Amino acid sequence: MVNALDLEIILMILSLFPNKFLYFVNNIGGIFYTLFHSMFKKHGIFKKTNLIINEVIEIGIGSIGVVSIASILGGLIAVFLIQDRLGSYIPEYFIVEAVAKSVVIELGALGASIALVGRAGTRITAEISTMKVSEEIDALKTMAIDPYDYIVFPKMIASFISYPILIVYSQFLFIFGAMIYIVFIHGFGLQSFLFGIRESFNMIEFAQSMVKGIVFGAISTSISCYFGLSASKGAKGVGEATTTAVVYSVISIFLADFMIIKIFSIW
Amino acid sequence: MVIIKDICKSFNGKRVLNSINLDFRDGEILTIVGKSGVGKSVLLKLVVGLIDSDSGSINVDNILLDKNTVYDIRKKIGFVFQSSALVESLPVEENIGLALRYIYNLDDDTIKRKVIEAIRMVKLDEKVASMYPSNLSGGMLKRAAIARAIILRPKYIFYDEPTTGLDPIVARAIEDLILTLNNKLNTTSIIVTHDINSAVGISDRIAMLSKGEITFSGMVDDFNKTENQYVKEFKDAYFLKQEK
Repeated sequence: MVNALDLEIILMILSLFPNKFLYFVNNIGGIFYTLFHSMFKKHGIFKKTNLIINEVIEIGIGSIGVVSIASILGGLIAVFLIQDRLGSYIPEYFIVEAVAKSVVIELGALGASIALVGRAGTRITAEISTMKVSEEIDALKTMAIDPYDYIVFPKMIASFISYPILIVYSQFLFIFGAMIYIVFIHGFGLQSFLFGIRESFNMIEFAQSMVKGIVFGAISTSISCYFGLSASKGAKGVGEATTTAVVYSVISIFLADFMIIKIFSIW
Repeated sequence: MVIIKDICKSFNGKRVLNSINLDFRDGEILTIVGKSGVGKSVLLKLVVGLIDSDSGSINVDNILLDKNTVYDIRKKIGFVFQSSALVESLPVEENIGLALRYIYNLDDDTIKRKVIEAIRMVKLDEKVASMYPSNLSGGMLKRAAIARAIILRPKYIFYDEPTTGLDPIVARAIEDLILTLNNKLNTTSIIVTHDINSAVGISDRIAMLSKGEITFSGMVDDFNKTENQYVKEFKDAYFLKQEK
């Protein structure tokens, strides 16, 4: 609980940066507006099938490369660190279990989502902000086309599809990376490795990672679209919008991650 | 008819439009002239609801422009942007048929037929249909933007600096096209420009915007004869530049 003194200190700190605080509050409001306005209005989802498929190709398939490299390297690093620091104290079976648990609960979802922010989120912000500064968004509006419906909605749906799938894919590759080190370099038996993975699998933890996929996708895409639609001042504005979107996305994903872990820890 | 009443607009505390009163009469070609940065484009964008006014009202065919009516009003207006503003990621035919597909839910065959019709009307080569905007010249871009604006057969067409950045021959061709479309489609055309020759050549009526106010409004003959100080200053500066 925040007591009166804490609140006073917080308000005092905020009053030192009134414009920054207002800018931040305004952005948070804008991000929620982007999310809800694009999702909770009447859509003709079937007439946008092509747009959604194109976005799945751009966001999902286009990000396979970066997610693959990040995940395999992540798996190698995770197992190396655990083996290096704890290898002398715990049996190898527990190392496999520790890696598998951390991948399913945390590393797969977080690693894939951060890679997706870098690859897909930046593309979304750069694309929309370029459309904004070149008056393409205004042109859509004058044709009575709502940009939240035509541009944001397909990207949101594509994110809901792509993020969870890429997170599962990332989890596999994390474990594959771990397997490369622990089986082929460290000489641990493949059967024992697979047994450790099977033993550590928990459906609730897997469901948690899927929830994270959908939430992280919604966060990243709504932030990227919001800053794209808010861009101004030509090429400089495009750069600023993209940078700000990445910063907000990464911080928001970590914050949401913490909240989801807290919620699932109740079970 | 569009009635603009007491419209004011400021940006960052600077008053750009100050109590503007103007009407767009059915069937006419009205040109709004004035120096760059005087708020001509802002005025057009206010009428289509791209920018909100600080005060005043805008009525389009007796419908008051507000958040609830803005989409209905936009369906009555075709807007040709100065930069053409075609969606770069779509070929020309997709750009032109965008509203037919996403607002009117027409089938592919009907869209294709109407797009070809619009392309022919603006005298573009049909081969251009499959090309992307980045591969088109300035004149072709402008024609494609006009085709996109007329595809819904709007009652009003707004042209924001339609000839700026074009060579004199292409600029004249675009002016002829505006005249032809105005007669053929029986539309009301509102043109924003600082090109006096163009304004006098194609307009029925001319309005002059300076210092945030409408300082002159009248028929082309009146514009040519007027002793209005703002019009004279603007003409002198324009023709001096032409001579240079």
